[in-house]
Amino acid sequence: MSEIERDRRIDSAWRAASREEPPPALDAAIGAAARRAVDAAPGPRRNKHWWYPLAAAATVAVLAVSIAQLTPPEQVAPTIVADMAVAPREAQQDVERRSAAVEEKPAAPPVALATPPPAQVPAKPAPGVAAGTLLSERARVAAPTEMKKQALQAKRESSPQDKLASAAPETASANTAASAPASAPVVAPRSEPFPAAPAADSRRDVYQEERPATVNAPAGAATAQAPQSRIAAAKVARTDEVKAKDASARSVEEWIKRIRDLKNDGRLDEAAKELAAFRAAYGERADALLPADLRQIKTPAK
Amino acid sequence: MPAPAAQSDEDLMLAYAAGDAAAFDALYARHKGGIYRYLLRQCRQGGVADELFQDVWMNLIRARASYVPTAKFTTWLYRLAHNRLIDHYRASGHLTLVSADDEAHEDAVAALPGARGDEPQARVENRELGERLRSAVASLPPAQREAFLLQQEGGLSLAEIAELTGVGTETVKSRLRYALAKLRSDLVDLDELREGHG
Repeated sequence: MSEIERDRRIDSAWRAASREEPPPALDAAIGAAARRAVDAAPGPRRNKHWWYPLAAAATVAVLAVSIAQLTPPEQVAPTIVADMAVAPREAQQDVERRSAAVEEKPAAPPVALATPPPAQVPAKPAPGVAAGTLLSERARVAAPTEMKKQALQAKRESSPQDKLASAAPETASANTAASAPASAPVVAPRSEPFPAAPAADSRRDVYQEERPATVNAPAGAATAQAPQSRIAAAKVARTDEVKAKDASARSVEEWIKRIRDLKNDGRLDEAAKELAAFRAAYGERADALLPADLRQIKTPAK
Repeated sequence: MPAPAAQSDEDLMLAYAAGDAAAFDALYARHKGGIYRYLLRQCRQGGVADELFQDVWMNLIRARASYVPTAKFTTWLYRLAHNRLIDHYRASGHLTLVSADDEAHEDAVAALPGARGDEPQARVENRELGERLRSAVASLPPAQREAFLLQQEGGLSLAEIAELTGVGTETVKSRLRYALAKLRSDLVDLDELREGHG
């Protein structure tokens, strides 16, 4: 495109003649308006969607928490499962310590035994039992799969006599947190190992005494070990519950007879196992209930 | 970042849109005179020119966020001024742009005021060329005057003037040719007077 030829004389004359400028007041007003407009703006090139990453992070956090709450614990943290695997060994060690402590303690004065015969175990558990059951339910929620495995394993290892006894109503639980003091056993005289009539309170005492024994972990030990892992405690509680069924259903006399038979047959290992189980079931009262000849069987080393 | 004086108009406008008030100051300093004189020569009233001038710059401030440098900044700025002027003409009822773009309007162009050669006293007094020229420009038909002012004050090319005013480049060229011819004829007397004195 060809520009029109410009007249230099007119151009220069126009530049010389046309020199008007806007009034200074107008300059100031326009400049102020321009600055006001810039200052009133939220900011240059400010990202209007600054909250997007924040919202995304919050959403991810909420989803993570929700999934963690809905997922079973053994799928959430493998380390917890590892703790559960360690739990039986810890419990066994606790049993051994507990047994040693019981042997060193002086025998409690013979008092009327509050333990009822298994046949007379009330169908409805005592309040203490209910509390223990509630706790065991919590433990079941905490580690259901592992607890089931432990229960099955315990049933497999139990004797036919245990299997029969397992049909008795559930009377034991795993109240590991609120264990009874170790110095409160009420032991019957050796000549009369069974109480004449079970009472609710004494039944609760029996339960509290039985709980640590059936789980192969004394109450005091379980309390001391509790901070290690909640899952381990839950596992112990579940095992307590399973074994407590057998222990409560088996009479002391039958148990002693079985131990003696095993000993007489030369099956010392099995006799020692049964003895250990007996000690675990009856805790500090075990020595008072056991005949003198059966107290000497050493527990087989693991 | 280069100094505002070294930046192009487009960069300054973008900087102002981003919040740089100093960029606006630089832009304003560059173009305030041309815009003001463009408006002043078109409306011929100082008070009105001031109002229109302020409106043009306020429109620029408001439109800063939507500014896209698709065209020359000067073209955009003078379009704002042109549109504001058209609005003023419409509001005041003086929108009488005379088309003097072709030979058919030569008579109308010749009838326009501004033939200062008819004033012997002006020649004798040797008044400044500038004053004669301003008067001559003021006497131009509005369309020619606008094309002339856009070329002189805004430095726009034919194409830019054509785009801004919404006409073809040939039309703009014709308007400018008529305008220059008219101005030359107005200034001939002055030249003759100077030659006679010389």
